[in-house]
Amino acid sequence: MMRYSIRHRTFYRYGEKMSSGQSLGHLTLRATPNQTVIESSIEVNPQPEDQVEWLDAFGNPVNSFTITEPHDTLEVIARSIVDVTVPVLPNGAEPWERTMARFSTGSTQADIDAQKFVLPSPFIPYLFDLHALAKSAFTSDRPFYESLRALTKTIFDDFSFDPHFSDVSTPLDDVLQHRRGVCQDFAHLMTGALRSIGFASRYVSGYIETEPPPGEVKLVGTDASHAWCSVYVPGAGWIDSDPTNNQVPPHRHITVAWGRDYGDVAPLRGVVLGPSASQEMQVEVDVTRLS
Amino acid sequence: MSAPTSSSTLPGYTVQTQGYDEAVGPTGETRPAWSPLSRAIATMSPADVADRQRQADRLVESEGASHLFHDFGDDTSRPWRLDPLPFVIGGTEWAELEQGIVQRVRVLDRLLADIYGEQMLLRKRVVPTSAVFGSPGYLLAAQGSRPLQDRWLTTYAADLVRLSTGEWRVLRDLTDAPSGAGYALVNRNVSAQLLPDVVRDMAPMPLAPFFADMRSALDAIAPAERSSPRTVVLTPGLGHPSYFEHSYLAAHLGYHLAEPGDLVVRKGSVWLRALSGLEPVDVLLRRIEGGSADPLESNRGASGVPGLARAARTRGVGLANALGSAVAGSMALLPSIARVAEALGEQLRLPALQTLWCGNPADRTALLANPRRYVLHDVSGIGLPGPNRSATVFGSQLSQVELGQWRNLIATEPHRVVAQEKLTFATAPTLTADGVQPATIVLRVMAVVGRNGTSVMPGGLARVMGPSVPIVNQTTGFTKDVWVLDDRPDRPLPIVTRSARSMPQVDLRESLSTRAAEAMYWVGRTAERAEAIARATAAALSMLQGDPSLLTAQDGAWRIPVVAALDALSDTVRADGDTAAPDDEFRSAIASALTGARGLPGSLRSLARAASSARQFLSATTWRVLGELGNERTQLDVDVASAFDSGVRRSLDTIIVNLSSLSGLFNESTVRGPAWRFLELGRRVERASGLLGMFEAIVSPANPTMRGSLFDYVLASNESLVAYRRRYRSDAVLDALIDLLVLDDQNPRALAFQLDQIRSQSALLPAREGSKGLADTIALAGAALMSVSWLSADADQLGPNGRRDIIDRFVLDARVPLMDFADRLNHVYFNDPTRMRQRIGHL
Repeated sequence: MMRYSIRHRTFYRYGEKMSSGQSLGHLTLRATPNQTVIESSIEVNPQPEDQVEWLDAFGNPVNSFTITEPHDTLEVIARSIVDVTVPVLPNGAEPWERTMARFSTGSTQADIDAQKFVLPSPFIPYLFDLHALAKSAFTSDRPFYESLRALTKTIFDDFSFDPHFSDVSTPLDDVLQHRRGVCQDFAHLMTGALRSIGFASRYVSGYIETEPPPGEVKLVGTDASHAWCSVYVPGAGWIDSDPTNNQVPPHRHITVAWGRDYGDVAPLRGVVLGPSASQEMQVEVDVTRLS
Repeated sequence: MSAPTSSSTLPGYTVQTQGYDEAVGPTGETRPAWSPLSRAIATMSPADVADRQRQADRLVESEGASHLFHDFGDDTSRPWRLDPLPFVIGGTEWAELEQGIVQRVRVLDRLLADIYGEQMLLRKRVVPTSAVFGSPGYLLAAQGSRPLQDRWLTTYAADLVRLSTGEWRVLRDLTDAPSGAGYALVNRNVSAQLLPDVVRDMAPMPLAPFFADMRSALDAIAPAERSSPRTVVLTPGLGHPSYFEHSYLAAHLGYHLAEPGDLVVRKGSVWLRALSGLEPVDVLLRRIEGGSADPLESNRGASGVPGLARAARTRGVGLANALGSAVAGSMALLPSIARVAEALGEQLRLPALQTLWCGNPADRTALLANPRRYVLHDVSGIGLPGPNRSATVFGSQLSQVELGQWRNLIATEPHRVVAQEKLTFATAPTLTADGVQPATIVLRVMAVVGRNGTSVMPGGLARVMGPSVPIVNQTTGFTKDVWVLDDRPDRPLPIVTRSARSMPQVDLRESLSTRAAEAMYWVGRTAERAEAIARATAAALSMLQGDPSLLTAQDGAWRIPVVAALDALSDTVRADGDTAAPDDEFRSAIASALTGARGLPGSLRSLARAASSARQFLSATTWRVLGELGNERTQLDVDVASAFDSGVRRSLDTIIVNLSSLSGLFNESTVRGPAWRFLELGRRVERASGLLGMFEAIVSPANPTMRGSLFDYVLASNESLVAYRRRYRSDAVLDALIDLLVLDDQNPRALAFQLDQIRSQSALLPAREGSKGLADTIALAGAALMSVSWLSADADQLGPNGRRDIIDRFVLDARVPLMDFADRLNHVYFNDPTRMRQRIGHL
């Protein structure tokens, strides 16, 4: 088991005074079968008039707050302490087609819930190239887990990590064409590929602990928000894969929330009312291993 | 081909024997329900027929419906037209339809409760999951929620068609924000005037009780313990094709009309931005799509009311319909509704038209075997890429390439595609240029669900379908009123036992949204501006007719200032050193005042826009006048060549008379309250500013030799020439002109009168931050009047400190504070921060 402390600070500076603002965030860590949240808090400056928390349709904690005083900066700091254990992966030698067949006839609540994650979603349209990508790994009669690992590795090998290539609005098609992007794009790719051959697959938003280069001290704020993908296996549940790092989480991974794609679980979104003005945003994430 | 059958009563009306016609039976006999109407039609001559259609168009227009449609620049909108012939349906048959609708609403409501709750129907595979989750109407934000009263559907509509066997089928269910009730009301109002004798004979069931039921149904979903709940009609805004209906319904039901920016969510409740601050809202008659209702919880851009989804989930506000209701109307679910009814232990009385959904392998195979026989529909609303992109197409009209694209879509995303066989439906008599002809009708039937059950509108909206458009598209502009006959001797008690009609919820004399306040202000300004342009133009034409030499007299000493005054009114900028012939210069000034974008038509268009945002504060007669004005505006066709034609003057006269009736209506038919006050302020500000413009353009530079005619022109443009002659019995002189048009606080055309009204009305507005400064600016404008109140006899000279200096200084001294007042009013009362909304990027 690992214990982590996480601090996630988002800071906005507006060029003008905003008269009010409402925000909604996926910033509080959810509990998962291998993750226990010990502590969590959200601090907002300026002080909101109203701050509420609820669970969304996927069971993720959601925070929403309303600021009614004029403000030209907004600071949101999410702090959490969490215990993460590494699950034992089921040892599946079953050909993937059999896994698929069990899924399409399942009628448990988990099976029905998973159905939400089969269809294309706003950030992950159906694309023929996704289908081709999936089929390159999910070859005939290949065992499910082997296929899954092959798909993870294919994305890791064939796509380059390039933080300057894409932003949240880059279409998946562009990522496929140019073979570059960031963790969010690769998570969308793998999720979409799995859906294109009929699996339920979801997008997982979270953090990853990074290590400083050898011999250097770790700097504050250098960790990052991260994203990966998860696939539903009837009977076994959800299995995570991180195509950006070619890893099977949790491997320094901490889950915040999951959804059909990024749009369902964006860390912070909102509407401010005020004169149209420039806005700058800074994000700092610190993941500290406590034990 | 079957042989045609001719009607025994309707000359020239021929229908297919093997089809079904509403009016004519298989042997040509008239069906009983249609007899009185058929007799009435049979007596009409072709000229009568054309006349009824013209009358219908005019009446629709006078309801304020038709000109709204083509004014707002939406290519897809078209004039609303009413076929004078109603669609008639007998009471016995109607009662069956009614039962079917009542059952359908119940079944769909239970389906929604299951989808967003237990999902038993999904687990048992009664309803396919991909039909549900793949529908754009399915809202994650609603998952797990339970609306107030557990009522998902407070309003419902269905589009019905009749098969050639005579049976009715559901074409689609409308469960999100079904429209049509307001249009049905307009149609009834019009058809009652078109065919008064027939209405008396046939006595169609009245619609009023349905709207009473609608009010009480909306009251019923208010959060608990609100003794007098307040409902607001939430519209996407002027750009929406059904905006007319939204504003019409709001006015009819006595509710505020609000756009998303007019509402805010605070601490789980919804509030209306009103003149007096935030006012609580309990129920929203939601006319915005569920998926765009809350930008915080949807991916569809920044429209909607932030926080609304959560307020609805925590039952801080009642929504009609609940967010997420759209999914029940997805065409992908049409084939499943009968199974849902069975699962609930019922037999569906009113089934859907046979519909294939490609998520079902058997349906997919059937469709792919013969795609050209079907109408194809993409439930996502996207359709295929390319120029002929449409979510609904006839298979028979697709090219090979397009068909291939649809096949591809069906292979990769089968859940998106549904298909209905292209059938020949029943026909009904329709009035056309070629007399009475059969046409296919889609009947929209509407229902509301309240405490005491479901109430179905005894009537509806019949739309006449063109032969070349898929029937689920709403494309032809023609509609029909729907008459349900109460022809059963033993008609059972109505399904709903009606409680006493509820009182209007909102005291519209006192409660005013900031949007409506601003709209009323602009109604006042634009009406006044239109009148000023019309009068100035008419006065110029009329003086010239009396004395054509004015045009060239004294090197243009009359013409040049008049052209300057007209240009100022219509914001026309003339190139310097324009060497056009005097005649042409003048004609072109007239033409741009009467056709320019900022001239008369522009002002009338802005007036129609502003009025439709403030419909509930304007009387019904006001709409008739606005309709006439819209009509005149579209007929104004003036160019340089025709500027002096007598037709132009006739049009101007009609416009002036209508604008005068409008100001009469503003004074006599508008309740004095904040709404009227803003209207009045708008008129007075505009009139004051117009007067100052006249003084600047004409009185100040007037050449001494032409002064008399120019002053006469100013008086005539301001409707004060008669008053002047009565009072002074002499040619116009400066101090008398100033006395009558500036200083006389008893002359409603004088500047002093405008400032008095502005001062007294603005003092009665609710106090807001900055409202104190309003009085100061008006006092400043009033002070400017002092400088012209005692003019010496030699003031009317052109030299230094003569007329020119005095008037120019006066105009400046008065205009600056007046414009300052207008700015402040805007800032204090209308400057709504929601206009400047932006979205935070996210990471």
